[in-house]
Amino acid sequence: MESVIKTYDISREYIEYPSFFKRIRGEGSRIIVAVDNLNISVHRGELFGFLGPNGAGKTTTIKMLSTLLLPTKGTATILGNDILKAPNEVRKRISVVFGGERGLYWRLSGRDNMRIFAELYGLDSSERMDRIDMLLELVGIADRADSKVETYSKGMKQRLHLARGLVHDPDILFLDEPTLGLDPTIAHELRKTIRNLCTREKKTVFLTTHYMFEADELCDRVAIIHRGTLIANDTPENLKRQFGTVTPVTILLRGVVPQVEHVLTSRKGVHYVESGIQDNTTKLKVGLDQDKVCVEDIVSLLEKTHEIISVEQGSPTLEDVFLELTRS
Amino acid sequence: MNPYWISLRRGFISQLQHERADILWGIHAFVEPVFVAFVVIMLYRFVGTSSQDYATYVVFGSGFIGVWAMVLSFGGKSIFQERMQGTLELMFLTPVSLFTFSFGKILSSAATGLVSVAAVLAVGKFVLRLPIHIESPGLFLVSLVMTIVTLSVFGLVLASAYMLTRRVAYFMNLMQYMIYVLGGLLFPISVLPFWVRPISYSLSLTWALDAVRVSVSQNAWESSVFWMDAAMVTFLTAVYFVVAVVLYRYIRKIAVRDGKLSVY
Ligand SMILES: Nc1ncnc2c1ncn2[C@@H]1O[C@H](COP(=O)(O)OP(=O)(O)OP(=O)(O)O)[C@@H](O)[C@H]1O
Ligand SMILES: [Mg+2]
Repeated sequence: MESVIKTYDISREYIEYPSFFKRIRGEGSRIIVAVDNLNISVHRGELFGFLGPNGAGKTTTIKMLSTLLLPTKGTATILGNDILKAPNEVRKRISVVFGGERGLYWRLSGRDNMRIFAELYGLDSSERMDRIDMLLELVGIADRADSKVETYSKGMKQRLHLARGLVHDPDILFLDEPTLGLDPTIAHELRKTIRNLCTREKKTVFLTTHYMFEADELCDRVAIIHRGTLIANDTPENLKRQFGTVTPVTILLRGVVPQVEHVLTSRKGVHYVESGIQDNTTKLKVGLDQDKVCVEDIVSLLEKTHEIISVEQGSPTLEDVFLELTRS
Repeated sequence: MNPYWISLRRGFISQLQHERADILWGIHAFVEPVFVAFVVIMLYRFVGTSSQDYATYVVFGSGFIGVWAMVLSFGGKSIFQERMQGTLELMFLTPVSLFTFSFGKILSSAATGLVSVAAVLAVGKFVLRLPIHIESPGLFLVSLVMTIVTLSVFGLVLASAYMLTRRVAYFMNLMQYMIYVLGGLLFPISVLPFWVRPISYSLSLTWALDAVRVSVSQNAWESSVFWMDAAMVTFLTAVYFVVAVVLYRYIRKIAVRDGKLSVY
């Protein structure tokens, strides 16, 4: 399969100084390794999920791949063009969409925002109008296209971001947390739109998100990065099969039982215990490694002191895998 | 279409759209210059100077206060704002030149500032009944255009300095008022202390304003002073332009090296 994104030991360090004057004197610097010898490849038409805890280096990687930031070591190729040697070629074929509310002209209308970028990307005026209309329609904000962006809701801003990113018909889209802060319905719609970009229009999408079920549902393949280092890279199914050694078990106890987790956390094979109280019951979520301890052991342990209402055994989710792999 | 032309035009239009959405420019372009003109004229009257002596000086000087304020507060800062609001890095990814885009923005701010020149002229002539008559209208227009262009190029230097460090903001606010003095906006620079004058002479605004005044007060076609002014403006503008180009290249370089395109 053709790799449209390929990185070669790409790395990025930041140097931080405690103050302006120390910077001038070059004193007290601290090196932050944001991305450390990353090697990944993404195929054409693939929806690639790039996951990792806060500060793992996801945004830094996207910035390097999109030529906004120079790597301190290594390089990458985008559609065969080296990001260091041919950044202009790379820029023409990609688009970067950052999540959140930055990156838009708030005082202008959605349509004017689109028009600015359509012009700067050199679309001629006849083609421009149609394309802008089509994209606003695609993301579903055509009816508010002429209102100022400052009157948009988060979801509308996010959809405008995506439409803006598509204006020059790029081959590769980098989406940095595109569903950040959206309600479930809108997030769902947006995911569908993103999915269609891959399947119908054969675009390659490189996406970061903190929502594991989203990555699971959406992505063909995911990579997990932790403190700048790649720790997993496979399809969500394979990852769950390979690393999903921890089974989530939900146990409901009658009554409010504080601090019950202490009984369990010290047990061998128990990876995590979370407890919550609702309507005079206590809900325990326990992560068990079934090679070491079975559900029955835990149940009989709890039964001695508490009344159990129900026990429910789930199958490992991508979130479980993520928590497992990124535990320090 | 040529990408330089596209970005220049787009910068110009975007800035106009932003100004339309932000009424603050009315204060810079209208209220402030008219107010300053009024105060200064009252001062001249108080000390008993003949209006023949100060009319053109004050009217055009304070008119250009508006142009200058627009260049500084709208043009110069707008590039910095692009960085704050996260549009600068998106701009950076487009195939056009950030330099011409910025230039378009500042040029458009400066051009909007011409409102102040018209406003002060109207107030001076019709409200305060000052004796103002434009002797060489053709060259007056030429010198207006010259002033707009040279201030914009100067603004571009400031805009790039602004992108290098936020600390320039403090300096910029100070700068707004310093130019009133250094550029001879409200009184001739010949009254300034000797050591300050080199600074005045290195500002193209000083020469451009002189050209404006010469074209108002005499037949400028035959005035060697006018052509001298024009030559100095051209020369200094070229120098600023080169400085701006070098600074923009440098910024582009360090921005991707240090990851400063979106940090604020
Ligand atoms: N301009 C910068 N200067 C110094 N350090 C930086 C800079 N940008 C990022 N970092 C550091 O680099 C590391 C990786 O940051 P990055 O933004 O890539 O993380 P991320 O995976 O996108 O996190 P999040 O999920 O919170 O968005 C962090 O430790 C961060 O503090
Ligand atoms: Mg990030």
